[in-house]
Amino acid sequence: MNLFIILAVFTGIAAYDLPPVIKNKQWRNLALYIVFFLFILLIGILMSLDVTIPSPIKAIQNFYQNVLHLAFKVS
Amino acid sequence: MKLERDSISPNQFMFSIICFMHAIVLRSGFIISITRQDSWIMSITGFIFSLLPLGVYVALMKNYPNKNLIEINQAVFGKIVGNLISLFYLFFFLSLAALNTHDLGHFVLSYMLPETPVAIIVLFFLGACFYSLKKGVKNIMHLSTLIAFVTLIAMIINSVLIAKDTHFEFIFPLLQLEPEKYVQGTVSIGAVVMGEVLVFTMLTPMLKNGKKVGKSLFFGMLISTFSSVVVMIRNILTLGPLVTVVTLPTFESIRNVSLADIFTRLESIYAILLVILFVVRVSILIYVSVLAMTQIFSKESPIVPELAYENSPREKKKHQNQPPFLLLTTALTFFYSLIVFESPIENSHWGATVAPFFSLTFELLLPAITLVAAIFRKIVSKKKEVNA
Repeated sequence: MNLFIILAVFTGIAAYDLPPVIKNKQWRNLALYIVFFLFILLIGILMSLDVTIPSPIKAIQNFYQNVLHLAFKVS
Repeated sequence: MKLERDSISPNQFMFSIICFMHAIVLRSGFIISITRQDSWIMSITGFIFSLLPLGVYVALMKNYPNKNLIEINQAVFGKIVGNLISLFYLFFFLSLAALNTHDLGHFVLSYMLPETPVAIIVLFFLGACFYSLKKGVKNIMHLSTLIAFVTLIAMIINSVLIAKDTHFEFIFPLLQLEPEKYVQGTVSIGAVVMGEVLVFTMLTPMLKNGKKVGKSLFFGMLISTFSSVVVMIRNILTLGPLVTVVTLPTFESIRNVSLADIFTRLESIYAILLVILFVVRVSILIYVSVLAMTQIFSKESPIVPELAYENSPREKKKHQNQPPFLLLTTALTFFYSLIVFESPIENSHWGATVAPFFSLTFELLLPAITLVAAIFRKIVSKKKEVNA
């Protein structure tokens, strides 16, 4: 069900965004758009399938705390 | 997606900063858990600390007038290295948008719609942000004057109405904690609250009088500091030791307002105001993310001179030649906000430990490196001129 919603929403996004790009023959913009679109769609599909996506903020938290040793102590 | 030059006044710019700051200032819980009854002093010291990054931004903007952060990076480091550095800023803006959306989602879930799935709350919230951005960021900035006034008036009214329930002794003892706590409080306020004014260095080409950008940034931060001090003192005087326990002191403090059974449940007004402030805040964050993305990846600059845009259809067409990133960025913010933290406890742990250092990397370290490189570049080019 979630996967269906994600696919429907992203079809809507493409239908909303792409006609002017194609009409004006902005092929470079279209290529850029497709790369971002597929990346975000992939995240959406994975989330709809309950795949755990690691949070970038948690990775940064680990890096600052354990590699750079830059973190305040919790009282 | 375009940014029109010379389209807003310095005052509108300043009020946008106040709205942007207020959204987080009103949620002062994280700092009170560190410095307790002395937190209002941290607002002042945090403001003084944030003058350091502000000085760096003003110096950069003086060296490169009418350019935003991405354009300055491109001018100082060249297009390739400049864009690589700008990618870090893009990540920072997107992360801020996701973190703020996550905060808003959990606030609404906890205090307003406890049974609603957070994804639905975030979806409607980001829908409002997308709609307001579709109408133009210029309009959001024009509207922020009104929103800032309403917020400040609401803050004054709430403080007056709660005055009879305050206990002045709750503010004592003063300055009795370990010095490290005050350093932590100062850096946290300076970086996590005040330093986020960095976002506005992306919008400086919008200003009608570019020379006044430093003044607008300074007074925006100063007024936000003043209101933050008032809000924190009010919360401490009202809640006493409880202020460190509750997750949202301002909300709990306003909940106590009851005047002759007529003025009650004023926290609902606060909640609505907070949501509106967050719409402004996250809209601006999404906008600067899209702007950065477009400037990094697109050939054409999205920043257009307003007059040229109005008078020349050719110019208009040229600047419409931008990839439509707005809806995609909003979708990315949606997914990012859902995965950023699993619980509010993780969020507050991040805010109290790593967030100040993470923010300072983008708010102070990178701009300072850019400033040093800009000065070095100027010296080298002057020497070359002398030799020639």
